[in-house]
Amino acid sequence: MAKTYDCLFKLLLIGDSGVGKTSILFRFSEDAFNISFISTIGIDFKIRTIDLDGKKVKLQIWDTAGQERFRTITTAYYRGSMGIMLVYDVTNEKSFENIKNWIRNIEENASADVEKMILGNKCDLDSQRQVSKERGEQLAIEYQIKFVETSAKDSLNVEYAFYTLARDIKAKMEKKQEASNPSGGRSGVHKPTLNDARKPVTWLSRCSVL
Amino acid sequence: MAMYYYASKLNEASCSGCNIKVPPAPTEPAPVPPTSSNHASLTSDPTLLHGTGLSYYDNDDYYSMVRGNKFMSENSCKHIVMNGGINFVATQKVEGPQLSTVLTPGVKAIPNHPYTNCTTEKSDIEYRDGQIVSATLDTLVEMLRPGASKSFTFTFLLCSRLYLKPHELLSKLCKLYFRNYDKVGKAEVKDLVEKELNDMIALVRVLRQWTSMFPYDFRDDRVMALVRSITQRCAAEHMESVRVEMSTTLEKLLDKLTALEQYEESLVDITQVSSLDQLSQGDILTLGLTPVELANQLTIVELHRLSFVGPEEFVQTFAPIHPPQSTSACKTSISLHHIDTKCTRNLEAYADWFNRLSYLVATDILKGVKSKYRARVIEQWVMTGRECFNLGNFNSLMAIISALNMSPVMRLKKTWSRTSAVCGQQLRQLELCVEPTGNHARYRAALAAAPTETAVPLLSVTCRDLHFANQGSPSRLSGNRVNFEKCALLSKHVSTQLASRRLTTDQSPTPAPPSPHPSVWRYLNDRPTLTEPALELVSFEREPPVDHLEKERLKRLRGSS
Repeated sequence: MAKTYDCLFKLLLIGDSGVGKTSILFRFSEDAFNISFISTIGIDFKIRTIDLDGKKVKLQIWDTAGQERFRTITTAYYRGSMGIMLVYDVTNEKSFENIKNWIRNIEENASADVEKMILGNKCDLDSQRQVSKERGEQLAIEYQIKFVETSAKDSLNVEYAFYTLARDIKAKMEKKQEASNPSGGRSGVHKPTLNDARKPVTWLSRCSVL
Repeated sequence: MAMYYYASKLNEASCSGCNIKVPPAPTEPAPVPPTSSNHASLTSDPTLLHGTGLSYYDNDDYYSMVRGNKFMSENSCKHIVMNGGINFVATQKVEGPQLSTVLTPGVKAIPNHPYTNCTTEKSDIEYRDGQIVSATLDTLVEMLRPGASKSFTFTFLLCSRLYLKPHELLSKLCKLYFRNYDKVGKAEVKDLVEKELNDMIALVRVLRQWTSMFPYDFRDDRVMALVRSITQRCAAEHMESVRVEMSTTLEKLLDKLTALEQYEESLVDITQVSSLDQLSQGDILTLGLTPVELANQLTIVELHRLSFVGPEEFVQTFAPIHPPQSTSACKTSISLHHIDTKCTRNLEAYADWFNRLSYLVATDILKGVKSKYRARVIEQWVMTGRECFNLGNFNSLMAIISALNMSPVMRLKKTWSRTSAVCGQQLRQLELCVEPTGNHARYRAALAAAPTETAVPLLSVTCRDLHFANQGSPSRLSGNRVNFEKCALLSKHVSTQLASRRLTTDQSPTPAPPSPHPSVWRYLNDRPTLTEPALELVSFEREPPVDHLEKERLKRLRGSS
């Protein structure tokens, strides 16, 4: 089968339930779907292929929504993830405080070099805001993670967020490739299976989650 | 004591204030009473299995209290009692086409409703292929009556909370059934008495279905206040025939609420400790059970916990898109999630059990000092998982598989190399059964084929299904109509998860599962497990880090502990 993309990135959306992870995913992914689609086919992950500096990058985006409470299952999502979006809800203080717990969770379970980004979602609901933009920025500086406020409803910054994360992953990969293969070759073009190779490959680590 | 609390509530309901009121002169004819066939279909309704896992009730005090008191005011109440917090506003009777004229031929379950006195236009309810697609909320409330199909009643009661609170729904129902009676004169009293009785019978039957399907709704004081006012109406002399049914309904409700309270008391926080010394002796091998026996015990625990989860908890916890905010700004917006009506956490407790089982299995494996021993523990858990599969207990199976896939367990190369080839083979087969390709196609097929009595669906998949069903479409359609298609989808997922309770079928519920083995019960429910960092540390103790990444990880772990 001819490959229609140059690299495949596995991304993950995490955060408390109700922060709008699924809305962000639906906003970003290409295909609209309806209720009968969900009930018959369901959703494992969403795909969108984007163009990054002339390269076709296929983003495979996983959503932990609905399963936040099943620790050992959400943990399985981390394996093989190359980028993680940490999402909180600017109208929900608790979801912001929990970002620290999610970061700890990532450190425990994800590969050490996973790219991260913090999203403060629902910034359209300014009248109900409980977390200021400054606090979000402060947290991002503390952990040295990029940050942006988004609104899945108004389609604000969602594209920007995914492009930024994808670009960071790509840059990191290219850097790694150059380090391991300084004589060159076709840098920037990667096999889609360039996942974290040290983990044993089982169905869980193949990114499939329950 | 819980039971006395509820008992006193009910007792109060049956005894308190009998305000005698002479009905005023009628201004319009009273509605036609429901035909008896409307009621007949429900008289043999089986009670639903709700929290029957416990032999929770052995105190007869309450029974004598309710039965002894009966409804003490029956001799003193000669007229219709008009009491309680309900506003009985008589609505305008408008001649309109009967409901049946808008039904498609495929719909049999909805008989003519004699009380449909608002204009039923095509726009009030919309069908496709015999299924309700959308309807106005009021139309659905009016369809909620004894003759309605069980699945409609379940679906609507389940999802009604996306639109209004249970006490608001009950209040609407009361208005529907009690209207007009405050406008009759003495001449019509005799006729009316019968009509009112028929209305009351219908209402009590709806209430009986409601209390058996969603007993936890009646923990709400506002709901109970309305129940009290209904009970007071039943106290009137001419209501004698409905009194027994009302009283039985309340008794059963009380049993369930008492069982719930006892169950809640039995739930303790999962103990997680950070070092091996804090763990008690023994593991799956010293337990001395065969994999078949252990799988049976696991299934009993699962079904026990599942039996206490209220169907409404799935919708309350997972479906709402916007959980309510405490900010005042939110008051103007419509909150989908009436958090103040959620008064149980059994679903959360059940989800936590899944996590607990995973940690228990991982702890069990890592406890063994010798790799040979750990390999045997792994083999035993894999065989237990296999037996869980045979029983259709997918939730325990998944918890076991998740544990074996946790990185502290998975990284033990030496240990795994000592497990038998058969063990690895079996594990791979089991993993295949729950892996998610094609929206869990394999799992769904296996669940459909599993024995109903012992089948335990994967809670995480149900939660995920519900989440996407909720996110995928709005609850309200244009014109503020209820998106009933969505309700039906949510209801389908909840019914699948609670299939062992047979909520929407007329089959009798399954008998209570056999009681668990005490030592196994303690092992599964009370035994402490290791925390996640502790599991990792112990794992590195058992088998040292093999590469620089693991060495770094260990360094970080030691640094933080």
